[in-house]
Amino acid sequence: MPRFLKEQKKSLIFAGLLFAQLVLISIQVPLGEEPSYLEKAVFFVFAPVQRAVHGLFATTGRIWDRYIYLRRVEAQNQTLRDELFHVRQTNTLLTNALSALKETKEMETALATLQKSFLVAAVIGVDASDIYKSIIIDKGSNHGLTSNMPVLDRYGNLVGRVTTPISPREATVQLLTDDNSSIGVLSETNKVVGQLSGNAKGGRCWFKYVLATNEQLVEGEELFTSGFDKIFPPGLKVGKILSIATDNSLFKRIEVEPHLNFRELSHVAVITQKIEGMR
Amino acid sequence: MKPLIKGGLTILAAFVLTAALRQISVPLLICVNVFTVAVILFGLIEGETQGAVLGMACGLVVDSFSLGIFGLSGLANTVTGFLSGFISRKMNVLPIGRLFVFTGLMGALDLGLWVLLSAVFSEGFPWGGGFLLAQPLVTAALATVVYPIHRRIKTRYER
Repeated sequence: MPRFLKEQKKSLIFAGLLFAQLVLISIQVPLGEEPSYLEKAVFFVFAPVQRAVHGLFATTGRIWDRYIYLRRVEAQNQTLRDELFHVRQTNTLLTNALSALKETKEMETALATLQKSFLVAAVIGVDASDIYKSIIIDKGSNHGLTSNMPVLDRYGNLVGRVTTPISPREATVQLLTDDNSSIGVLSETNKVVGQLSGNAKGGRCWFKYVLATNEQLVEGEELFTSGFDKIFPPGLKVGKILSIATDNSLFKRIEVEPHLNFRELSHVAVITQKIEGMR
Repeated sequence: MKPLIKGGLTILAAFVLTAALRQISVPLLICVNVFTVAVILFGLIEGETQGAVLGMACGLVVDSFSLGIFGLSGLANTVTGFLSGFISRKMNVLPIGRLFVFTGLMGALDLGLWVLLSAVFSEGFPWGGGFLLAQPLVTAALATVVYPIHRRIKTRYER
């Protein structure tokens, strides 16, 4: 090896590493949203580790809750019994109302379809560099998950959509708070249509493309999915308008507080069934 | 232990710790970056080349679990790993106070580079109500605790 190379070996390795990464960044341009093979490989290798850590914590938590920490269980049981009573009453009323509308066979088919149309998944990880961008769930291509399937929280509020990389047992979910996400939404009262994107500051969104002359929106108004994006079915709860401001631009600056709550995001429901006209 | 195995185990440990932190509290991940701590310490212990290589590997792991551009964290961590090894060879960073300042500055450099690159590539970053700015301090605190422990264990092991 020439003397110059020996002397500058460390600097050359450093420069080589930087160059390799610049190449990695630049090859993403033609790939677009599609992750590279290297990205997929690293995801496939480390996702099971994440699942194992999640499993360890879940098991420890279960042991703690079931066998060690039993305070307030009695009170909790009572609350749950009360809630169950109310839910049963509501269920009976709804079933009666439904049966009055439809034939039994038709109703059974409709209920069976409804039960098969979503898949419950546990959240096993969050985006490693920005927690508001994405989450990792413990269901993947083996469970029938594909890109663009809508994801809801336990209350039926929109969380985001399934995106790549998807491994056989894990998948990535792009959150609605990601600044690169775009969801067709409309307002509850006057059906003002626009687009919802993350605001890149963390945890909040922008309701975009509402003309500055539009005076039909009010703070605190609910936003729902419009279904115009052909990805999310219409009518899903998204968030509430937090503030409306007007500057010199053509559109209003509308900040939205999404219903998505990170503290309660332990499980999500993925809508797996294709909805007519979607995707 | 061979540097390759050491590096692999360090990445695995950082990944497991990050996943464990997520189980404790998601917002905590804004101000605690275990991968940055690992890269700075590895550069400090093993030298600039190993620090840069581990920085690249750690960054790519972070990027593959993020919807952002693949390679951004890698680039920032590579520079941090290299500089942490390079500067620590030029000056004595063993006293606790100096170690805290040095690792804090390295943490700030890593964060600054990542924010700058994110801005260049029009990527968002989580301010988390300003909590992101606490990341270098937390990095410094963790590194200042872990590094002397590592040195003590190493000295005892070598005896």
